[in-house]
Amino acid sequence: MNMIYFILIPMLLAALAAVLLPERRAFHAAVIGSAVSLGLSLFFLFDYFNKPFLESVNWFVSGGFTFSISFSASNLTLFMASLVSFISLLVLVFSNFYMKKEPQRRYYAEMSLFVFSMLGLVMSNSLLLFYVFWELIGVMSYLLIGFWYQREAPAAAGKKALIFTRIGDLSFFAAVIILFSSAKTLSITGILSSIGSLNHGALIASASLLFIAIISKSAQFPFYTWLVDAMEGPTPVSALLHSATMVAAGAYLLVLMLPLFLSAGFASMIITFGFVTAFIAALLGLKETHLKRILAYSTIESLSFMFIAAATANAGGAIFYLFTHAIFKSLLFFIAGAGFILFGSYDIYKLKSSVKNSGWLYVPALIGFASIAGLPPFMSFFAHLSLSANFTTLDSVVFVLLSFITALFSFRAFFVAFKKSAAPRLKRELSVYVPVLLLSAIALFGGVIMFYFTGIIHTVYYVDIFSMVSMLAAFAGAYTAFELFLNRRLLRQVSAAKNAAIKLSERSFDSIITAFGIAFVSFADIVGRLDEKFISLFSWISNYFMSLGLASKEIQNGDSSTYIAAIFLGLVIVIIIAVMFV
Amino acid sequence: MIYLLSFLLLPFIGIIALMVNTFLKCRMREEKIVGVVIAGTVAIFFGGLALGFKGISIDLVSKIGFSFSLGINSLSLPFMLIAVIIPGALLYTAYKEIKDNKAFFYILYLITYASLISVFISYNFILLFIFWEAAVLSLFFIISFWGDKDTGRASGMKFLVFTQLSSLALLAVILLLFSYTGSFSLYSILQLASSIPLLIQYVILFFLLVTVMIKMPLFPLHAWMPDSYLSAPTTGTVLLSSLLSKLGVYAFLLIGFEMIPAAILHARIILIGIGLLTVLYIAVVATSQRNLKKLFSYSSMIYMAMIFIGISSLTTAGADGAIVLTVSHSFIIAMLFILTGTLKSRSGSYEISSMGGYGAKMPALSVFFVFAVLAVMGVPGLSNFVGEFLVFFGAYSVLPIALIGLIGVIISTNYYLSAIKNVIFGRLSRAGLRDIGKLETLQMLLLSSFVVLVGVLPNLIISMSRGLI
Repeated sequence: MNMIYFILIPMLLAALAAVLLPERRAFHAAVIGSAVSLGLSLFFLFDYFNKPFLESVNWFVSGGFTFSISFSASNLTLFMASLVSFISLLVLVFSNFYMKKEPQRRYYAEMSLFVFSMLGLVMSNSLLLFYVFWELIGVMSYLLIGFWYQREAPAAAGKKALIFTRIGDLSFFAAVIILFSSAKTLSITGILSSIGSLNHGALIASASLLFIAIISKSAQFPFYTWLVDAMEGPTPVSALLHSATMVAAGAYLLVLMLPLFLSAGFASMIITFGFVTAFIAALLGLKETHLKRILAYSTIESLSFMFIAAATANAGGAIFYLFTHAIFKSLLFFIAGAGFILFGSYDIYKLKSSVKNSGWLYVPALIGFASIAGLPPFMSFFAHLSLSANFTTLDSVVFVLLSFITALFSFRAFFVAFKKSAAPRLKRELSVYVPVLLLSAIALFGGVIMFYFTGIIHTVYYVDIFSMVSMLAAFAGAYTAFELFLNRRLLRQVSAAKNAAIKLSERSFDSIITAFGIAFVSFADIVGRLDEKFISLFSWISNYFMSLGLASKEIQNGDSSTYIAAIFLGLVIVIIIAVMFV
Repeated sequence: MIYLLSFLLLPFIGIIALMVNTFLKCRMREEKIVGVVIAGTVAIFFGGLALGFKGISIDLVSKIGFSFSLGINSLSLPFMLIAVIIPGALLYTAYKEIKDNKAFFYILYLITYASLISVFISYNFILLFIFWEAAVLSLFFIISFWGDKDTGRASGMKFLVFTQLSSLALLAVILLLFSYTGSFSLYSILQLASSIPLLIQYVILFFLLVTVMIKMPLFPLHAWMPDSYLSAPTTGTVLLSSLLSKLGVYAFLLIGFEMIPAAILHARIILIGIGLLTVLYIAVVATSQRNLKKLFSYSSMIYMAMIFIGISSLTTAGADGAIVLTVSHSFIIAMLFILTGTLKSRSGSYEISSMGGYGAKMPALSVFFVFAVLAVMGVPGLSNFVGEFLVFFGAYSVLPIALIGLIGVIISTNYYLSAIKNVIFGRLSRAGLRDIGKLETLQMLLLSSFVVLVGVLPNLIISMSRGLI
């Protein structure tokens, strides 16, 4: 009837086409697919604005329950679908430039399958279907991070990413089972409306499990290390998965299931975890020198902002920030990627020393990094206003501090790596120009969208003294970065802080996790040896039988003297028994 | 209407043809004969799915109730699906692997093939037991004679001892059922079983558990498995893990779920506990494995434990999940062991440390390897997922804490991904690697297409077993 799943199908077909068509056509398949998906999403969004509907198809039947594949078309889901397909289209266009010399088929097929899964995720109405796509995006992320699998670093990073996110995935799986058993329905709306009848244990259990799921997928503390290592993947992958879409799935689930978390009383826990994660990410970003890893830390921090916004019952703020973040983060990754292809490095200090000028990338970079900091007049300033709308005083104070540090580390990256120039143009390359300029324009002027965003999801914004103070803090951070990293003043005062930051990173969290992993494998070795002993015990039994067989084999050894002896012995025994008992 | 007798007839003709071929030295390729038989059987099976099956019942020794009865019961079809198709896909592996005494081997192969299918269509317990034993004993020969040169004999013996123990327990179950219902016929027992006194049902359950826990296998009766799976030729390992272990599942479903559910009802918490213990313990043991074949052998136990949990929960969802997982696991583990066999022939051993970086030189194998590992991990869209979901859902409704079994799945993710990383990813460690050829690619495609099919349309399998309570 309404065929909303048509939004998904082009990407699935594109994935098949990418595999079956000649190598050079893979790119075209993917781009055409995502353009069609984008067109369809926008069509549905405008045609069915404020006219939500559901669509479902039976999947399988068991235990008297019909499990169905059901999609929901509402303002929010169609908006998310449009956002995902829009960013995907730009990323795929950019990939034409960045991945020119790489195996095309595998890349575009995996990317298309990813976009297919992500689109399915944002439009799912059934929690089980949501889970299906949730895991699929995790698997595609694993394959894409490990794209250059011949090298150790990407292979290890992909494995780490999937292991960490699978912990969350399986918690999600358990939560789906718990919620389904209690609510007797899988539809998200149905589950939310039955929260009242959930018994307390099930409520806490499912909320905790879902919490683990979202913090692992969205790389929050303590699961954040996988995202930083995921930067080993190709930059377009980082732009699409690890900034704009996949990691945002956690925030999206949080928004969708917000009533569940709030009823379980998890709001303050989420806010606490969010702020802790944000501080850790900001501080670690401050000492990082690899541009992509700095962006990864800033993604972790931005995701925590989304979490905190949602937990303060401000779903609109979270989603608007998600939108803004998708725009400026993918912009920044494009810039970083273009910089790598043009200048040969991601290290901000190498870029500083070897590059004379950044060319036309300078202004978009400024827009991007200023957006991380949330400076006006960019779109993210408005997003910051929106997400802090429901903050308590304590939250706002912490946020002011955070704004300072955020601006500090983002402008550090900017001032070190990018240089203004008197203009020489760099080689024209549409695949890079168009995405970067388009996203820069949106990041620059898009703030005005906030005022209309309520149509999608109820959005509020609140301008008060704290928002002004955080804005000033951000400017202060930018200025400090300017002084420190461009003008190299204030170094002595800062070196103490710098040493503290280095100490923090040395006792790094990652090594704790590695240690835990090693401990577990050693434990497994012990248990394995125990099992071997256990098995050899049973081997003893069967060996005993075997030797019994071998020994009794001797009875039939064909030697007539043995037979005569046996007959004689038997005769004697029979006579004795006969005499004794008869 | 397809006669079920033809499932026995075709392999029998094949065996005669093989014997004629050997004794008259006809020099025909044994594999071709077997291939024709299997192709014919597959055709009959799918024909029967479309047109319906017709059973047969001939009284042989009516005094003790031994009659040659074949018929389809509500459980038969999914099991027949795997029993009919997997040996067909496996034939190519046997062709590459078995080089001496081929006639004897393929006769055993056809005996196993016919026996396995016939177990699932037997309507008389004595007949079922005869076919059960035939399948098991053929496999003993396969492991002993064509297995690893040094350890084959010993492992075969260990396998024989344990498997005969399980057959003995099965015989005890059958005899107990007979003495309390007066019949060996499945028809009658299914109707009369509920009137067996509860205490006797517990005894039957005990013996049934011995059988099932040895067959599938489950902790703590799994001792025969690592060595047997390791020493057997790849063909033998696939037959063991894909098919023979499912004999245990079938017995548990048929006798446990359908005939003595009252006994299971009282014991189900304990049974689910045993399954969970297996899942968690084996997940840890598997983490320590450095031998790829042993790794997959242990990991196969985890899914058998999940199937066990699904059936023990006595819920429709659990049983449906168990059946889907059975079919799914058979295809996936067949793929994994066949690929492991290929890897051994390329690198000379099963040790993971001797492999590495194969993705670069063997793209086709790598695609199937990664696919199979992702499938066994339970990625949605592939067949294991729906089975796992239904099993855990069924188990949760009986025993909420059953969800800790998922910790075993988390642990298993680690060693699966490590296997992929250490075998496929990384730098190439040796030269002279050939990728898998066209026929093997076809073999893998066949198996993978079933994995995807069952993953996307699990209803096909679930509807095959409608009629479950």
